[in-house]
Amino acid sequence: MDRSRADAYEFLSVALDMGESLMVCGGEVNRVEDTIRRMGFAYGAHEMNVFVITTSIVVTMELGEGNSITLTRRINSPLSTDFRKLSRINDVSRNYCAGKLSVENLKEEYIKAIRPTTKPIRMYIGSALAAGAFAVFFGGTIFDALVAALFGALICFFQRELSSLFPNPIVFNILSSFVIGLGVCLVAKFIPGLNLDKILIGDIMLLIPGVAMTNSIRDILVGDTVSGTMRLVESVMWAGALAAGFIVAFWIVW
Amino acid sequence: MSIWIQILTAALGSIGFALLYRLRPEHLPLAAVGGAITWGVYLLVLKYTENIFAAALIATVLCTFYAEILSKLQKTPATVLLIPSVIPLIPGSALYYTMSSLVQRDLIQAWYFARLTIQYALAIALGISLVWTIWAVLFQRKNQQRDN
Repeated sequence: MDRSRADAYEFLSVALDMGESLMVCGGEVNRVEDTIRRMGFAYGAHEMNVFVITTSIVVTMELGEGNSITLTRRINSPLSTDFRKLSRINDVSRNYCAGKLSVENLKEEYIKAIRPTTKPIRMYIGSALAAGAFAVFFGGTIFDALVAALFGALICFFQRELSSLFPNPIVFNILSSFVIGLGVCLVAKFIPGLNLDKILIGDIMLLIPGVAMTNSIRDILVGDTVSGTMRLVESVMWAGALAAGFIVAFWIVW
Repeated sequence: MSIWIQILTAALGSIGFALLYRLRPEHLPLAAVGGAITWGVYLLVLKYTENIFAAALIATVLCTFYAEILSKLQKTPATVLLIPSVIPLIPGSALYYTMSSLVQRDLIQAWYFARLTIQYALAIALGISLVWTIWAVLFQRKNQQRDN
């Protein structure tokens, strides 16, 4: 190993960038640890000690001859699921491990991988479609679906444009569920024949941390107890915030 | 008839979430089929066992196998196809009725729906972990070779 320490440092910080992006795009704790570990061995490390929880990464890379590098990374960005980015970054790490990339190429490829992936309009369509479809799925009519879809697009707008203005997701969820609840209750009150519960259920599918909750239980079952517990507590509080927002909206309208 | 509407809307809902989670366009039909399979299997098992937990568990197991196999073929991480496909089982309505029962101060009903919500979440998590464990055992040797 004649590589200089600076070179190894450069490599490891790119590996951490990739790990952080994977986590923010919706990757599992397992996957992030595994990716950094494999990349380290592909670089030529003798030993890799990687510890990842949802908010932080700690890595020590042993290069032999008493030479080692330790880096930590605090992950502050909130989860914004982007599976296209996730697979791109995954491909970059695979290519690196297969020996197809040098360290300089790795950095370039990583920067290419995190470019924005889709037009926002697709996400609005996705939110509207999901809310509308689930309103019918749980027993609503086509009119319920239309109202749910409209508010679904509004939720998407809140999540994309406004969530960064709030200090934490809990406050954001209380307020957005309150606004959505108020809007849906008012519409259902003045237009007869709509099923308030079905519309709200369709929109709740977009707001509930169902995926986060399931992932957290899965993390616990797989053995990542710390991350799992953190996410579980987070998602239960999140669901509570959601309920609080809706309850206040109900009280005001009825 | 309403069964087919449910399966169709499950597939549409999965496409919606696939768009929201920014899947590649060519993966959207796979997510739709995944959602339809998940809900179809759930309804089928529910019909014969009348047990929500068992139905959700078996549906998740099949859905996870579906996602694992396809993701190997498509060379993409398994979560990418798994999460949109398993969405129809996420207990949105149970959570809503827990909330609305609480507002109406009907604690017995609220507890019933809260238990239902937990049952779904546990069944999904258990199903995924089960398949992953089987998968890890099956492919372990190959992975270890890659490490060394």
